[in-house]
Amino acid sequence: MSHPFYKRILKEYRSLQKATLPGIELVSNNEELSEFEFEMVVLNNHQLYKEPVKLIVKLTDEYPVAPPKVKFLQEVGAYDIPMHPHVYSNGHICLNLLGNDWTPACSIESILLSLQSMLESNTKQERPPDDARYVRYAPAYASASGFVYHDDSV
Amino acid sequence: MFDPFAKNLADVTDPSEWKPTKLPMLSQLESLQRCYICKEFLSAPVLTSCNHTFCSSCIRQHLMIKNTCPLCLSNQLESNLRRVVVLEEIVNCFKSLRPFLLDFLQPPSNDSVSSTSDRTEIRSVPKRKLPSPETSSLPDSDDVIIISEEDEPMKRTKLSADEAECPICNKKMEPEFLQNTHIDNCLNGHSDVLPKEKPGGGKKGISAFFKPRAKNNESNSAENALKINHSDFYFNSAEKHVVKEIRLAKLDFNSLSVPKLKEKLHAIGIPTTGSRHQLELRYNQYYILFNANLDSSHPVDVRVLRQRLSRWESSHVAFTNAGNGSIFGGRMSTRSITDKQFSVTEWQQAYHQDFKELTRRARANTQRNLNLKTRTTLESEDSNTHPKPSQGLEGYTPLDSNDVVKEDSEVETSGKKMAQAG
Repeated sequence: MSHPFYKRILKEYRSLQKATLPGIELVSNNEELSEFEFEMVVLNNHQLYKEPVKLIVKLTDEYPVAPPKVKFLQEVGAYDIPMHPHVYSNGHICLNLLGNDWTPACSIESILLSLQSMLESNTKQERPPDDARYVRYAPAYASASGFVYHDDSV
Repeated sequence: MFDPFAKNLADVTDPSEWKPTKLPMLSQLESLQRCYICKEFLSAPVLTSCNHTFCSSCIRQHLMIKNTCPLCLSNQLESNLRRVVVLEEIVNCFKSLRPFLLDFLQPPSNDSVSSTSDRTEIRSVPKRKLPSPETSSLPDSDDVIIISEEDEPMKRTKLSADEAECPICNKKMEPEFLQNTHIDNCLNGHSDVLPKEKPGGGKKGISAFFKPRAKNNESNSAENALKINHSDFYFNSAEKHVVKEIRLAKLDFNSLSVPKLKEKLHAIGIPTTGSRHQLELRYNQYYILFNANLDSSHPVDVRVLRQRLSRWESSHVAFTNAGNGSIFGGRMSTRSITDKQFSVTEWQQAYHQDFKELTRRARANTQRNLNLKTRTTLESEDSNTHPKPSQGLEGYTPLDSNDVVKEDSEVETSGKKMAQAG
């Protein structure tokens, strides 16, 4: 039982293993290569993000036609959800690349890079405006929640 | 770092393999020949109206979800896809030459790659290689295959001497078993037949026949590709480039009842089992496979398509029970591909009940079988008396009294029928 695009995923995995992206490291993955955990250091925004953050990436059966599911992970004493106007306190990320703007030409690496740059360019230490309401009703993964993009500037 | 995927990774080819060779620029040539969606060599390449090229099946699958080009995001229609016959031949040609080129261009092992070597190689290599790449490798394909096997065994394939890979399902097994039994089964859709483990002596000749298929084991094995004269195929069999077969039509599932849908599936020879959702998914996948196959100059048999369909099913969450429990499986990845307005929560609920219902039925069945067993033993002990409800059984308490009552009436009615028939 293997994924229809198993070879592509293998390739991405091989490149992820080599850890060519600065500050991003593959921590673990499952046997089916459908679940990856990354540790990310925000390199150029040290005043807001001093600690590394943890990300989980899950590939669906339709990957790469459909985007993977990505969220930040919280581990008590180790990792916190980064403060960002597009990151909810449960780790969900409101990012166009993970929803409408995904194309199969993107990859796990491109997501990681854009998340990293999203954090790096951030100046506001705040949660999204509807954080409390969203977190209360949020599904396990953000992809089903149909985000309304608040603004494009951040 | 322990790498459990090393074995699988060995089968994966990548443009970066050219980097350490004498002609690293070939990695560009190879990247251009790969599909941006699956990252494999283009198979049955098609051109969009925005002039981008993808594998037919990849882009069709993508267009089912979203009608944009993955590269430039312009709007695209499936009906606008056009075959690129010459590109398919170019890709096939390059694919078959690839192992030999890689081999020829290996830097000498005693000489490290120096900065000065770049200039000289680019000048010298085209002279030696490029004028007639086909004629240099085509005449004695047998010899060349041996080179590829011996010089990069760890790259090409991980098959041991007495193992061969089935071209259809990719399982590895003894060549004799594969040839005599497995291939037929596989083509007929019985993929579960596995060879018995037998140690020792496989025939070298037969295994060699299957070996070169390791890289692209679908329709065009390396060996077949070597025998094909690609330019001849393109220039002299132009009449074959026209698609004569009729493509499958896209179905409007909303206007079809389940029996009608099953009829459609039956008509094209694919299984009609499963829930409505599964039927729709299956049709759509076959639709992609079938139409993409028509875009190839070297289409495969429908039986192979069906086999691929069943392999796809076995890997798809919507068709496996495992998906129900997984956190990220079930819900999202089994949404109806065709319907963009499809509500996830709605489907979630529907599926949940389905599953509950199935569990209930399974339980009831076991219970019924249990009851039936008890009853028949009772009957055989005392065949003259009419079977009575269970109070006659000492110490036997049915878990579900309704089931027992139903059971009784069923036994009675079937008895009556039997009597009438007699």
